[in-house]
Parts: sequence; C-alpha cells; structure tokens
Amino acid sequence: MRSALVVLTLALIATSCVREDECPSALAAPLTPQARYVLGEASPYPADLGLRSREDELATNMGARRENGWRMIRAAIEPVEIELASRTAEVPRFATFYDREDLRRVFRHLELQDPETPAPSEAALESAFEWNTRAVRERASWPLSRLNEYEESLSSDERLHGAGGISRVLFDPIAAAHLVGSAREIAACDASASAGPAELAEFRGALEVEARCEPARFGPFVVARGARLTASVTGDALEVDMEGGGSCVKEMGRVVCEVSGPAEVSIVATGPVGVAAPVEVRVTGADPSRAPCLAGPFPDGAAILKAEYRRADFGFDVPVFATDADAQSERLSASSRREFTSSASVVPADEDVYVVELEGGARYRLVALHLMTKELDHWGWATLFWSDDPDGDFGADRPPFPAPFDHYKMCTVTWFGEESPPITGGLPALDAALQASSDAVGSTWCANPYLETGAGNAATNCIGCHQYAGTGAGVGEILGRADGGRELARSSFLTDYVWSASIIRELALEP
Amino acid sequence: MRALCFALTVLSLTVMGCGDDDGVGMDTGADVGTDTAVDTVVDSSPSDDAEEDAAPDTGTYVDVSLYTALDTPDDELADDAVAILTGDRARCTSCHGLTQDRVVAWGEMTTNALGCVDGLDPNNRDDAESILECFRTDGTGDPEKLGLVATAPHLAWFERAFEVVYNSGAAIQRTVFGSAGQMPRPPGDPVTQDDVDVLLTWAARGMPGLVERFPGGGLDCEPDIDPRVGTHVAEMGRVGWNVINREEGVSMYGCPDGEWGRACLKELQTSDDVDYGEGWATDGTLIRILFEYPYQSAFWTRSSADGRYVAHGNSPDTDVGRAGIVDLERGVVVIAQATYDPSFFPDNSGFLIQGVMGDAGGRGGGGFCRQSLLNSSPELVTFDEPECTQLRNIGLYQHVGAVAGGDYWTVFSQFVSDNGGHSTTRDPVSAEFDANARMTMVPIVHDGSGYRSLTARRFDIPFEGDATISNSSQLVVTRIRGESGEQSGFHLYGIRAELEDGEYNVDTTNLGTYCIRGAKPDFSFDERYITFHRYLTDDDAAEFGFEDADDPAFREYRRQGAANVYLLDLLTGRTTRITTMNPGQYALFPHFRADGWVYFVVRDNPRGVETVAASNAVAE
Repeated sequence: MRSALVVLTLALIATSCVREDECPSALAAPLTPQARYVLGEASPYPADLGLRSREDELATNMGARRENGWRMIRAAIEPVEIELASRTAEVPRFATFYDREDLRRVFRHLELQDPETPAPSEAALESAFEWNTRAVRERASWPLSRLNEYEESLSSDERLHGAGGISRVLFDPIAAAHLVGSAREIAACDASASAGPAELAEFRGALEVEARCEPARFGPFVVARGARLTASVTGDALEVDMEGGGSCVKEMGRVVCEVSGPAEVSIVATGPVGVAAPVEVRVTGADPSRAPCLAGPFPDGAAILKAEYRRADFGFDVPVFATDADAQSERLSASSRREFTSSASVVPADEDVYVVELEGGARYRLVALHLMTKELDHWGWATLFWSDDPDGDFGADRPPFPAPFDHYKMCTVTWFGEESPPITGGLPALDAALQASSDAVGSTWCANPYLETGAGNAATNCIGCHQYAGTGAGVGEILGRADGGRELARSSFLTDYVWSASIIRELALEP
Repeated sequence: MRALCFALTVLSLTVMGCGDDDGVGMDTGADVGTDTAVDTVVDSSPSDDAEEDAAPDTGTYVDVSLYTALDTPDDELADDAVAILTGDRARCTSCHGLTQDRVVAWGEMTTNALGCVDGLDPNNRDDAESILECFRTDGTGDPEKLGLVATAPHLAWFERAFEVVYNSGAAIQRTVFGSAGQMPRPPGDPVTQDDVDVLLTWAARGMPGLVERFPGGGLDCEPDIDPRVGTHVAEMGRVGWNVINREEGVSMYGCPDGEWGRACLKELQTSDDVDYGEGWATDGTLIRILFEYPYQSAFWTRSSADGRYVAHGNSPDTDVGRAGIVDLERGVVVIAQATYDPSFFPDNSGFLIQGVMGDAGGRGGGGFCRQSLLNSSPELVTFDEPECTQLRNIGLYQHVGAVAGGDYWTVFSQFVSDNGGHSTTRDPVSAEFDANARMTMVPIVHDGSGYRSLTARRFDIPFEGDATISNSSQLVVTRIRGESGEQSGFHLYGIRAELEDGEYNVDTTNLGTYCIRGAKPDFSFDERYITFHRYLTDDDAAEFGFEDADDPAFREYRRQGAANVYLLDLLTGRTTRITTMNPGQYALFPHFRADGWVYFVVRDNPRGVETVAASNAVAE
C-alpha cells in the first residue's frame, strides 16, 4: 500500500495591484547601516502557524477573516524593545524589518553578485544577517563616538521611528533570508519558460485488500483550495470510495473519484482479499508549493510589508477617501473608472497619524501599510489605510489599537472569490460597504486607496494581481484582463506572489 | 504672387529699418519704420496666384504671419521688449544674462533669421521646407539660427509650416524642433503672438534704446579664501559622498575586487599608448582612454558616481533620441529621448537629462530616472519607464547634489552655452551675466510616492552665473563677469539648508573668490577641488613652452585651437593644468567620479572622433 501526501496550496494575498518594483520611490531614505546597528536584527513576525486549520472559516466567514486581518496588523505594529546605549526604547515591529539596502549589504557580503558563488547555507545566511547589524563598525567613518552621537540624535519617538527610513518594501527575517537564499534561482529564472499551463501532480499505485473487513487505502492527499484531485481505479472487482470528501462513479470498467480543495482525502477500497486494482491519482490546479523562481515557496511565518509614506513638510496634506457603501458602489460600478479619487485633503494632527522623522529632518506620515504573511499556503493579506473617519465602515470593527494606529481602516482577503455572504453580520456600516464592494466586483475585494492608484485598480483584490508576480506582467496588463486581474488564473506561482523578488535580480545586475 | 511680393517688400524695409542711433550695429538704412501703419510681415495672405503657391496637399490656405510689425514708438517699443525679455513670464533672465553684448548678439541672429525666411510662405511646401531648414542644425531647432524667432515655434506661422511639410507628423516634428529651438525653455511660459510681434518688431528696427536699457558692468576679482573652506573639506573627508560611496560598496567602473581610485582602470590603454594621445598627461599623472564614438556630442558631458555611465547631448541616432549615455561596462551608447545637460546624483542612485522629447503632446522639462534603469542594460531610455519621472520646474544648466540622509538639490542660474571644440574655438567662454542675475535652488523631495521638485529659493548674484552645486549640496561655485565683460574669476558660496517647521530655510555665505578663468566647473566628491576646462588663447603660449603667440611652432594651435583641463584646489587656490592637448584636440567638460578620477571628453578634430578619457591627477 502506498500513501502519498500532496499539499496543494493557493497563495492568497491581501494586497492589491501595485508592483513595488515599478515604484520610483523604492530607493528613498533607506535603512542605513548605523540604523541597523541601533535596531539590531529585525524582529520576527509572530505568525499564527495554526491558521491553516481555519482556512475554510476564513474563506467563508467575513467576521473571522477581518478579525484575523486586525490580528495580523496588530502583530506588525506591536511595539518591540530595542536597546540603545543609554536607554531601552520601543518601535513598532515593522520598523525593524529589513529593507532593500539590508538585503543589498547581505547579498554583497555573501558575494552573491559573483555567479560562481554557491547558494548560501542557512547558517551562512544567519551569520550574514547578524553581521549586517555590525556592518557599520567596519566603516572608518563611524567610530563608536559617532555611533553614540547618532543614538543620542534618536531622542524623540519620531526620530527613533524614522531610523528605519521609509523604504517601500520591508521583510521580516524569514522572508529576507528566503529571498537572499533564492538568489541563484531568481537569477536563473526564465519567467516565460515557467509560465506554462498547469503542471500535473501524478501518483500511481495499487489498491489491494489484504485482510477482510480492512479497507485498502491510497492516500491521504491534502488538496489545497483551488486544486482538484481525480482518482481512477481500474477494474470493477473492488468497491471504491473516497474518504474525507468528494464522490466516485463507476464508468466503463473503472471507478473515477473527484474532489475539489480544500480537502484531505484517501481513496479506499473493499472487496475480496488479494485482489489488486491499479490506481492513478492526478492533481491539477493552483499549486502554491511550486515557486520555480525561488528556492521553494516562502517558509511559514514569513511576512512582507509595503509601506506608503507621504511627506509632512512643506504644507503637504493627505488626500482622504470615502469608503462607505455609497462611495464603494459608485467607485466600483462597472461604468466607472474604478479608480480611487479623493474628495478632499486634510492635514492630520501629529497625534492622529504615524509620523517618522528622517536623519536629515524630513518628516513623513504613514498612510498605508500592506501586509502579506505566510500563515496560509496562499498567504494572508491585510491592508491598512489612514482615514479621517477612522471608526466608520472599514474601521468599525477595529479592536482597541494604540494611537495613532486607531486612525486607520483595514480590509483583508484570503481568497479570490467570496464563498459566503461577504458581511460580518453585526456592523451595519461595515457590512453595507463590504456588500457593496463585493456586489460591484463579483469576487473578494480589498484595495488600498493610497496604493492602488489609477483606473481599474480600486476594484482589485490584491491576491489576483500578485498571482502574476515573477511573470513580467505589468500592472496595466493585469488590470486589463477581462476579470480585472481578480480571478485565479495561474497554476504555479513563480515567485510565490512576491513582486519584490525583483530586488534580488536588481542586486545581481549592480556592477 | 502678390503676397510674396508684399512680404518681401515689407520685410526688407523692416529689417533694414531704422532704429535709433543706439541700434545694435546693423545697417540702419533709411528711417521708414517707426510711423508706418501696422504691417503684416512675412505674410502668407493668399495672392491672386495663391492656388499655385499654396500647398495643395494640406487643404485650405491658412492666413498666418510670423509677426505683425507694430507702429509703436521706439521708446515704448523698447520698454515693451525689455519687459518681455526680463519679465517673470518669459524668464529669459533665469538662463541668460541680458548684457548689452548678448542682446546685440540676439539682434544679429534675429536679423539673419528674418532674412532667411524673407518672403517665404509656409503654405507653400517648398517655402515651408526652406523655412524650417533656415533654423535647423542636426534636425532640431537651433537657437543661434533663430535668434528671437526662437520665441515663436509654438505659434501659428510655424505650425502651418510643419503642417504643410509633415502633415500628420507635424506635431512630433514640431516637438523635436522645439526641444532645442523653442525659447523660453521650461519652466518659462511660452510667449504670446503679441509678445513675438513686439520682440521681432524691435529687432527688425535694430533694437532702438538697447544701450541705455542694458548697461555694462561687472565685478573685479579680489582673491580670498575663507578658513571655513578648510573646515568644510575636513568634514567632507569624514562624511562626504566619496566616503559614503566607498563604504556603501559602490562598485567603481574598472575597479576589480573592490579597488578604488588610482588602482582602477589599469586594464585600459593610457594616452601614451595611442599616437593621438602623445603628451596629453602632465608630469606625475596618467590618462586612460575609456571610450571613443564617431559622432559629435552636444554641450556638456557628465558621469555617474561609479564612473560607469557617461552622458552627453546627441547620440548615434538622433531620430530615436537626442542624448546618449555611454555604458562603459557594456561598451555601448544607450540612446535617451532627451536633449542635453545630463546630471548624475552623487549617491549613484539616479540621473536627470533636460529636454525630454515627446509625442505630439510634448513633454519637455527634465527626465529623472533611477540609475537601476541603466543597470538593466536598456538600448533606449524613453523616460516613460517606471523608474523615471518628469520634473518640470528645473531650468537648464542644472547641477545636482544630495544631502546625506536628506533631500536632493539642484541649482541653476544664468548661463553661457559652451559647445566649443567642434571647430576651431579660440575665444574664452564669455561671462554674459547681468546685474539682475539670480541663482535658483530647487529641492527635489521625495513625497512618499515619488520625487517632486518644489518651490525654488532664489538668491541675487549680480554679474555671476554658471552656478554649480557640490555633491553634498553645501557649496556652490559661480563664474564672475568682470568689468571688461570677460570672466574675472570664480566665487565660492557656502549653502546651509535647514528644515524648520516644515519649510527649508536656505542661507548662503561667501567662502572664497578665485581669480582665474575657466568654464564648466565641477566639484570633486571630497569637495576639495573643482575641475574645469579652458580654451587655449594666445595668452597661454608661454605656459605651453612657446616664446609667445607669434612663435611659428604655436601656429598650429592658433589655426586649430585646443582646450585643456585644470584643477583648482579650493583650500590653497592653486591651479594645476592636468592635460596638454595637441592642436585641434579639445579636452572639455571635466568632472569627477567618486574615487577622484577626472573624466573628460576630447573633441579630436584631426581624427573626427570624440574620446572619453580619465586623469588620475587627484584620484584617491
């Protein structure tokens, strides 16, 4: 008796259609070596590794989904302690995450720009990221006295929070290590060759009843959401069924069983002892375990974050976006441009928005935070956006959050399509906005007004866009699809939904 | 043919026409202009034979004029013209010092321009082609051929000429023409037809009232070096962009295994290895040959901090793009759809080129891109790439700097165009800066989603121009116009820009005056030196070992000219020449890369090529 375990996962990404590698701001105010020295190693995202067991619930229960979204955000903004020379201070966890420049330093430290350098081991990666926290000490221009002066300059919360810069994309330690560790695969990846039709997973064996009253079993197979398993058992001597879901039918001298994910099934057979029947199992559909342009899919617990800041100097204001039911209906109607347009701009009070001050004195306001976490096979997705009406619609169910993060709204998705009414059932304004959004787009909806700019982009659900990561498809091409880029269209995920794998490709191209 | 005859008559009368005694040196001829009725000049009104003359393939005859001659009295006309030239709308003075000499020169150019199109009718295809040909060099509008007519390419007369010649392609051709030939450049607003009428009427009359409205003037030079220059240089030795780039591991072109400075470029030929480079390097220095290309670059050349990319106006295929970026690593020229004046940011992160070419809608302004775009080995830069954005309020002759951990800055001012060396160039670069000269500083700030250039800060710098900012954005050097009208020296400013209450407070301080001549200065990354070029004059004969300028051996230099590269030590004021070019070889537009190598371009007339070379004179 053979058993096989197939884990088919669909990466769900709660961010919408913005390729971070297409953003000209990506180099703005990076995280400097002196800041890394102060911040130490990035604080790991505290993942809920039991979340997979709730995947069905998240897909079918908006209340549970949103509760999980807020949990994700809370985990990202949770204060973590850092030890300064003269005191202990706190910064939000995400402010310790690694940015492109961290990756660059580690990449070069490992000499990965040399194509002959072998892929780094886990230990080498760990050592390199640890070295990164001390890299500044190798610089003659940064004696300890200057570092102490630098630390002392981080005297205010805004300055301390700004130590990490305003890089657009940030990585927790697991995600950062996986990206750097995938340097060879990313460099070698031929997106066009890897973007073919669905690959099949095939398993062949036999069902043979070895004892009376003891069914033969082939499996179990874990079939992920979006995948489909078909089993074919030749002959009609055995009674064949599928355990755990699905159904079987007899036809022309064989039994065919089918089930759609998510499911965990085994093919079972009863009948005369000693009789064997060949069995063939094929699994098709989205397979998040396939990330051919990486050294495998991202490990559990990885977190990647996209931040959007707006300058707070020079009288710059912040556009505001209504997201109530009426606004969503109008914005997302098929006849509209499906674009976020603001009706007004405001200058938020400093206590109402997360503000960072950079080394040169420039001040920025955080207006959006976009989080994807590898707590589900297809990631969990939550996106936060600032609002001058923080407790309305998408902020109505926010649990108690510390200021200024209580001035942000949130949306979240875990799948392409809604599998139940898209409402929480308890908060009228939120439910109306959710229902209006879902009604208009016909699938899950989650788009960030500060990130998903341009026509068509307000109607996305992020996961739809990110499924194309690594393929070379541009945002225009994705949004231009008949489904607006919202529906599941791929069977393999070249860079496991992560656009910013391109950073590694860029680093490899640097002279 | 009535229209043509009429146009010829009126034009010839007006061009000859008679300004006051203080005209600009043109033949004033008979005084027939000031009290004439309003005449339509270079008219295209249909004649009896219009059907023969008009362009049959573009449909209806269009009644357009380059300008309408006014009957405004001379004094009033001069006031009106000066108001246009010096006013905030056209912003001529943002770029050009309106000295008497310069306006006189514009008048002469304008006279030639009007003469060239005398009697031509843009409705007639042959005439329209002739009109455009009058004003073109290398396929685009040439301000020196246009004179004040450069204010008109966006108006109806030119529009008709392009339409007749190019039909549906007219808009694109007009944009290309205007990318170099339209004045004022962004951010100045295009002038109106009424303004053009004033300017061309005034020019046609010989610019009456010019002398009293554009008096001479200048500044004598007194050498001075403030002790704070030493403080600044010491500080840059600790935290300057040379230090930062080295510590950030910026990989310099031609530096294997993380080498830096003098240890680099060893694989390349020296000037002594090639016959045409004989004698180029001065004692104790070495010059390496980096790249050679067969076309003529336009205006200045600048390079990336890592020395890999070398950009200039003009390209191997100007139909595709009018600027070129040499990728030394790949040995290719990347064509850029811009025009000239490249700048690279000192943190090796990006570049900016002026005069972005565009579609029918036109674009203009500066194209600003991340340098990673070039690292991806493109063949063409369109400035539509996601790595690029457009910055529209940055004037020409911009130079850029960056505050470590802060914003980018750019500075621009009145400037003197310098595109010498394509033929014998013996005059020193002038210093046509006027009493109203100002220096404009523009912060380029990251607003969170991209870069924006913000409201400018302006400072009066009478009789100074060609302002260049240092890499740290803490110094600016200008060229000073002397009383004689020629350059009397360089002026060094300290810049302090502080963000207070969400706004920049910017102060300038005088740090030094260096009484030497030179053009197109550029700061080293350690900010101790500036490098510049100087065209050879008779006064230089002795320095080059000749008895004097009449020395027979100096004859070839007098015939073919030459230019050399110099270094000025800002700490000591000492000037050092670091090239000795041969007759007909012009070493121009020197600039530093982060490790101290000085790149420059050699316009080598005897060989008909241009060479990018590098000197290790002060390489680290």
